[in-house]
Amino acid sequence: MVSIDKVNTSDSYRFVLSPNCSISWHELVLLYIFTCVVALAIGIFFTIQGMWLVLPFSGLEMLALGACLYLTSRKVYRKEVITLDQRRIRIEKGVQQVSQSWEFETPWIRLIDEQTGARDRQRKLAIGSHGNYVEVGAFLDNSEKERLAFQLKDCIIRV
Amino acid sequence: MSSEITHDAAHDEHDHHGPAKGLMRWVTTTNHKDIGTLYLWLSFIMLLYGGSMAMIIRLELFQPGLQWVEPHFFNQMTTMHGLVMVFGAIMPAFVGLANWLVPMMIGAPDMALPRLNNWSFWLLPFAFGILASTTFMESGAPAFGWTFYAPLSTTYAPDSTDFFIFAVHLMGISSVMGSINIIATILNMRAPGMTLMKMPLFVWTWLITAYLLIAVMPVLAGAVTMMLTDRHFGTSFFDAAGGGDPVMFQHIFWFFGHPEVYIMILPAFGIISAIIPTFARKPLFGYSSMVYATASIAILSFMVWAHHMFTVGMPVAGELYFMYATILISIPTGVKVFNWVTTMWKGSMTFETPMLWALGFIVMFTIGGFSGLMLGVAPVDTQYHDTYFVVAHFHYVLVTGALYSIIAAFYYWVPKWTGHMYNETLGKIHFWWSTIAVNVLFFPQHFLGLAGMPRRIPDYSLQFAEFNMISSIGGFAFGLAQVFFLYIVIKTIRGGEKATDRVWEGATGLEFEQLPSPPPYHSFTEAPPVR
Repeated sequence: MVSIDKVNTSDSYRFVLSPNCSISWHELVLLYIFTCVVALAIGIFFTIQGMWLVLPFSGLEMLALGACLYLTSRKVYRKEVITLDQRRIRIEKGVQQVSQSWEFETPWIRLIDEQTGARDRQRKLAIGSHGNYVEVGAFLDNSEKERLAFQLKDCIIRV
Repeated sequence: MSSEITHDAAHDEHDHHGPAKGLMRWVTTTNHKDIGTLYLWLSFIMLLYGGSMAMIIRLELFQPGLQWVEPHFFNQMTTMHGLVMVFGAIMPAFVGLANWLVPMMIGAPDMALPRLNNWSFWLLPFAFGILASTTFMESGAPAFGWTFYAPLSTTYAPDSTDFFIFAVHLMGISSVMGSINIIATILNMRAPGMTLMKMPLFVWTWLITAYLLIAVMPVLAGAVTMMLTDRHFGTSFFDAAGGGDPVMFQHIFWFFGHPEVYIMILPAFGIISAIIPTFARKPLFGYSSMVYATASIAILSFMVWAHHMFTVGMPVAGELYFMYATILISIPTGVKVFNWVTTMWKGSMTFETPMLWALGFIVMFTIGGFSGLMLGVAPVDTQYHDTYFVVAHFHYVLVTGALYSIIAAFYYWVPKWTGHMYNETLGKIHFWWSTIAVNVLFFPQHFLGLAGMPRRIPDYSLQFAEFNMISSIGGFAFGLAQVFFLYIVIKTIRGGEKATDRVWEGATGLEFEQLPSPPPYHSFTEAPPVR
């Protein structure tokens, strides 16, 4: 449930990780606007008839729907970008814009790939050095983490 | 050097534990399967609770005259029976099925908002506890019918009406949160490759149902709030003496109430669309036309509400509009029925219990649809309005329609849920017992209505005695059949022949093809392949 987008320029590699998402932000916004138009039109119709107490509930409900869709979108539209070259490895995380970033020196880099959770069923990938590590791809499933780990190791060896 | 340290191991472990032990598992669970199970059990309890009130109603109507209960208590029973069955039995059962099935059908690990899911469920026992408690209050339970028309529910309502209003608000909040969750899950969490037009019909029908709920729930919330302000805060929304309009209450109620009917039947269409192809061993005929028909029914459901109010005194042009719009609904509904029949045509059919319930649904829901057509014709409705013909019609739609589909769904998916096959002989006995009983119960009510017997009366003229007695006998038999169903449910959960992963030879879909029986507590931690 991820897109691992590996971009290989002359001497650097870039991995773009994102969770599975089955609808684009644009489509989601359009759908939300459509739902608001329908719900608020019903509320306004009854307000015109004198039954104005429908409208506040329509408004509250649309706020709740918007908040829930936004919260789920925050989870599925987040991205992690790992940029790797001979000198540095940069990890950026965020939704639509970079909200957190880390940098490590490539020669010192370690990739930690460990089994955690009940019966070691969960896999955890972390990148770092000197005792400081950043987990990457927490939203990936195990097979995707395995693929990512393989590709990261391959790239680290190449650079 | 790194500028920040992140350790999220504890968070990840949360995703992979099994179910907690003890009762608190059910209180704190955010797992879609657990919450689905809770919804289904609540709906079964409500079915038996609402059913027991139906038994009181049929007992009183067994013979003419007043034998068992006072007329006021009889009215409380008809009101509470309707409310409990609609909001407590049918709707939560479909939400329970959605919780169990939607994530498994779209290849998602869980619902999009698991904590909200827990909250949506746990509001309901309190809502129904509050509603049920009104029966023991000094004023008695609400007695104004499940449609709670003003001024019966305002000026002349018992004190317990305020508890009813609060309970309806809680149910509404629960429904809205459940719908938001289903919409967010279906839109955001489909497995890669699961395009909209590859989704199982059950998922489609629930997506559309969730939109209907979102659209109409504020109308219900507004209606009960205006009831409250009319009762206690000096407003006159529905009080003609203060410049209000009691007929407006009927408009606002049915603007909610008619889509509500489709909220209770669209998921049933999805269930039948899953079962028929499996036992006909053919793909569903006209998948895309089924999707468009479902959407058409949903859109039309907003345009026909006043066919419930033909006798209220509306202009002829209004009657004509609502009549034609109502009849129009038979087109997409007919598309569905014909598609199911065509799916079976020349299929390699077998008649296991789920298929029997699905076939029972098609035949008897169609009878309910035809009587609905009759009621949709304005000049004819003038004669049928508020008679037992209406009672027969909506029970054919909601009992042999919605309830039959829920029972069909249970038999179809319970081997997948529990890993145990139900007892086929008991399942078939349950079907034939219920089907004979339900027709003995409701079919004579058509004749009673045509002969002029009004609904919601505890006593009646002598000429209605025979059909009422037959109907009551059918009612008791049908009620007993559902107690037998409870035995089958418990027996299946406790053990039985081991179900295979695919369960049915002709079954398709991710839940049958990609998951074992029973499925793991956390299914689809890895994205399934979608054909």
